[in-house]
Amino acid sequence: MMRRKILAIVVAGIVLAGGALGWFMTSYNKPIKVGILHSLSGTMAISESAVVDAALMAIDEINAAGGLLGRQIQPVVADGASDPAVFARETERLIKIEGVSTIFGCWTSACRRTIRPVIEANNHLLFYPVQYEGLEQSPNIVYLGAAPNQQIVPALEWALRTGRKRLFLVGSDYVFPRVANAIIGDYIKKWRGEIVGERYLLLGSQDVDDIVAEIVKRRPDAILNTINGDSNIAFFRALRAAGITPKDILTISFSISENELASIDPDLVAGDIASWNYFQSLDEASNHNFAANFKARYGKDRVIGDPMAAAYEGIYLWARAVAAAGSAKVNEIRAKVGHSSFHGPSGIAYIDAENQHLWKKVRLGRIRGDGQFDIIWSSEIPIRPEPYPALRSRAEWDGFLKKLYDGWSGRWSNPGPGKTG
Amino acid sequence: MLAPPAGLPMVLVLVPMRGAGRKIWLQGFLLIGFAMAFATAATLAVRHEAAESQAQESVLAETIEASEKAAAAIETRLRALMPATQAIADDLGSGKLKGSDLAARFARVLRDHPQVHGVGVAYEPHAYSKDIRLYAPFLVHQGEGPPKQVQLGDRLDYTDFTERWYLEPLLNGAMWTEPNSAKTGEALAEYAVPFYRSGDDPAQAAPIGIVYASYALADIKRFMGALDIDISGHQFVVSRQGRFIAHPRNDLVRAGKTLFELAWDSDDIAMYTLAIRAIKGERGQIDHADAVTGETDWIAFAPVAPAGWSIATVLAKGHLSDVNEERREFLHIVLAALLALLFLTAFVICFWPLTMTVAWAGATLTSVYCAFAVGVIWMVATAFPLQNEDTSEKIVNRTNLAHYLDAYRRESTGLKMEVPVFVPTGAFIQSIEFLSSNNVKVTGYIWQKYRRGVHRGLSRGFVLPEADQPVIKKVYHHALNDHSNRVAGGGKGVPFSASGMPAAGACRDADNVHKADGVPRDCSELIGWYFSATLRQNFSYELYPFDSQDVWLRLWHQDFDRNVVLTPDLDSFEFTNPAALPGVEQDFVLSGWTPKGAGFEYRRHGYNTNFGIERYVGQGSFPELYYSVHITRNFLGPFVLHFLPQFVVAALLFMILLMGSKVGDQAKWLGFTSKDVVRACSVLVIVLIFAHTALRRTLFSASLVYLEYFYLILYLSCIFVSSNSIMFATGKGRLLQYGDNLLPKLLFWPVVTGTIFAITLVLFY
Repeated sequence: MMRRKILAIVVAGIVLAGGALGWFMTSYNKPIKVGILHSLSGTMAISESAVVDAALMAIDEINAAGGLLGRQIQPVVADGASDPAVFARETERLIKIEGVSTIFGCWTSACRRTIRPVIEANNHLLFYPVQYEGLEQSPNIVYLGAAPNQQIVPALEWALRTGRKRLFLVGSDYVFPRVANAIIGDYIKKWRGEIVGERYLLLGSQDVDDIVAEIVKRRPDAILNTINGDSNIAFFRALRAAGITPKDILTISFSISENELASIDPDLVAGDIASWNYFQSLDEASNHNFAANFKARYGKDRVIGDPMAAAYEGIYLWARAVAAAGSAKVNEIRAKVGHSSFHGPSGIAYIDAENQHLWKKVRLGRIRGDGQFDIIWSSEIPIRPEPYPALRSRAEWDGFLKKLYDGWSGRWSNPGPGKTG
Repeated sequence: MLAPPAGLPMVLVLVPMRGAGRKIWLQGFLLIGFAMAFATAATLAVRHEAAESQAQESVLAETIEASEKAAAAIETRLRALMPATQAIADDLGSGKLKGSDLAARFARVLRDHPQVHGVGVAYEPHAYSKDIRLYAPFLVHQGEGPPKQVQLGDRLDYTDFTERWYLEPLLNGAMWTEPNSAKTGEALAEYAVPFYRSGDDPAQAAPIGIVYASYALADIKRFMGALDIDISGHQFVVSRQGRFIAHPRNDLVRAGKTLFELAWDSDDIAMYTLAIRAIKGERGQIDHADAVTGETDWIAFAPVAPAGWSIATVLAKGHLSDVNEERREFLHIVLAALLALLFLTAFVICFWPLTMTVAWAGATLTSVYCAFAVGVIWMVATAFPLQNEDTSEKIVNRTNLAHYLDAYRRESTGLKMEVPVFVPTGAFIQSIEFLSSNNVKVTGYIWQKYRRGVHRGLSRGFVLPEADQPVIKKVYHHALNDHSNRVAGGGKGVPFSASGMPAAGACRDADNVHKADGVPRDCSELIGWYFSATLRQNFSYELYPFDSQDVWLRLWHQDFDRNVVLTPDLDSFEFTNPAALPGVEQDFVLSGWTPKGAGFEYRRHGYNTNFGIERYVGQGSFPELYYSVHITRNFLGPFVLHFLPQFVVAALLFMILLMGSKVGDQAKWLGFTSKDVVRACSVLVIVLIFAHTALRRTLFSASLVYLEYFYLILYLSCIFVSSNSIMFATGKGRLLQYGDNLLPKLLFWPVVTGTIFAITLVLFY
């Protein structure tokens, strides 16, 4: 009898131990899921799918090097379909059903602003890879792209420094160009420049003739261009048709990268300038390695733009934070994300703990006929991120945004004539 | 039941065991002994850790304090001129100060604030007068003599967008500007205040100019050097954009380099993070590992409030610990642990009946413990080698070189010596060969760089003072990137040919200081020599075969009667980390030795003669450049050559001892006679003498070396075994007869290993 009891206890003990060991092994080996949420269809797909490629490459590299905390990273790719509402639904799904540790995603400010409440309500974490208008600082978002003072303001300063004081502002009519031009206006006033014109066209619009005619009339020293998407093709075509070349009136663009150049006739834009933190032609060993690996993986004709480099660096910065936290739990990663740093293709990337933006060097590149850029100027030091430009108070900026949002009937872009509030 | 156990303390073995009482008393004693020894070992270990971390904390606290103190001192100095500058702006704005009175007012400010380099005002275009576009008088010190007034408006258009020193305060309000050299070519940092037209409301109107007061960055560096802050590291100051304002390396300040650039150049993320935190105005400290030098530093930084600058104090961690002290602490722990083990073993043995097995177990364990402890001491000595008091200054990076040279410059000024001239010198060692115990042959290359103007009239060459008939041959001679190699003042050109090699003339001939017509040599050139020299050096072999040596080259300049200091040409080395062996041939082979480190250092030398030279600068404490290679002996060779045979001899002695028996069949089988024992021991002694003599001849050491103590122990063992056999055979000595000569057999290995342990402990202490 006693023997049987002992045997039963021993067997039970073995079963329990085996179960615990099994549970431990499966937990230990369980992959860390991350959400990659971008537009794989719709109008933004052409830009965003390239960002997905860069992020997936970073994940594969980390996995090949042994993963994180002894676990592999499993990307869960979701399609936002270029629609902010779809992005919001997919965000919810990734968090609650897929159980991802972090989300890497979005491109347009409309997308980001729409999913932000979802991210914050779930106390989750988003890494956002694109330059944007600033005026935002969420503890649940890491802003990998440039704030206005890290792209627009240095370019403006360079223009003034090179004697181009009379400026014409042109942009797509949504939140980013409106805010960018407000910031430009504040600085131009302070730095004793002059805005000779400010015009907008609806997103996707090709109706640029009036704008170009005004440019011809005003003869500015330079054009500061925040037009997005294929409207740029129409704009530059009209400029050239009107006889305006970079030598006459230089155009400085803030939304044309190598990716967009792949769709534009290079002769239309060669000689003009773009302002970014990263260019594919950046002559640094870390970038050469990155570009070589990307082309080896995706094809030698693929090009690499700033948001792609930012997305790649974002994965590694997140990985550093996970390693520092020793955990893939969102709260613990968020505690370690500030001060995380990584030497990436654009240089040393460092997350400012105060506002979760990156310190960034700014570079100006002159567009070449082959769709690449010659870097003509670089800030000597990385620029401290200032999501809220100091020339207005935070309340004033919030008021400005509210006015835009209300005026567009609860949207972040101008819906068109007859639809504004 | 046999003899009591063979553990410590041995005196108790002689006490006849009568009853449980004595046994309990003994066990109690052993237990207490174990507890005390264990507690001592544990306490020492914990204290060592605590002391180390306390020392680190203490030094870190000092580093942080040094930063705070320096920041406060600089802040006080900066704030001193802010009111005066503001007062000028206010007076201009209120109309109390007219443009015509500016010069006098500026002169007063410079008199009242002698640390200020210059004071000026710059007006907006036509703001001073309709007829004058840019009016900007600037009263500034230029060299010795009274300050001079310059009109900046005549020299540059300061309203240009690139002239940030003017535009930023004009647009942003009173502020400290970034360092600039736009005005006079000298790097200046300024406090600037905008001013308004008399009667205008500053809240509404635009300013009509700025008033500014300038500090020269060189003065800030001198001020920092004069601060009474006792640190062995160095300090630097960066501006609000990370630009160096003061640093031991003047080249960084002159070139307007930023801390970010330093970080990028060496892919140093920790330094990059420091740069960001510094320009954000944070205070704190970071641990920093320099990939090039291998040094790990603490960097403590603090903001300098009014200017938005940051000051950092850098202290190398490696300078913290005293290696000798650390080694001694570990040896204390080893000793306490060994005692604890011995007491514990003896205590445990007490629970068993005292059989032969137990006795031999005790003896064996004692021997094993002692042998193991010796091994541990060897490991500790390898990790923390004995060091003589090191007064040399190791040079591993340009910063500590610049710091050292700055200190010497100040010392020369204080002693009213001629201004020191520094000659960059590099060394590369191709081979080292020991010719005898104190003579070593070294071959390699030495090069020097000379600059036009700086090294005017100097001989080209060096001296190896320790070398016996060195061979020194010039092997290359190049122009150094200075195409204007003209002789100053003499009017005669010493051109370089199109190929860059010096043309005919004094510059080509490295040995001539002057040309025939007395024109001093003055050109920028790089000269390299091959050398082969036998150097006589005082090597110490006391710890053979655990010794390590420094093979060094002492270098003098040929003009050693002048205040010429050779400096390490660090730019010529890819890595300056001593562990990376900079300047040592990659395929370096020195049989029996392994190079562990190499690098430059300065040692101070004084002489009791002036070599017949009046006011000989080197008679006092003169910094002499050394290049040294640190080598450690490979253990395997001496182990096979000496330790193994010694162990075999000891084993043979033990077997001879074991053979001694007078009991029944054993005596018949082993054939013990004391005559045979003495004969055998004599043979072993002769073998030992031969080996010992050979060792002595190799080392020629004045004192006993470590390995020789093993020979001495074996000589004594031979004598003991021989004496024991005679006394045992003749029936003398109750203890020797006990148990058929059991005690000597039991005690042989414990005594031998115990003695070795004691000697090792003392020698490596």
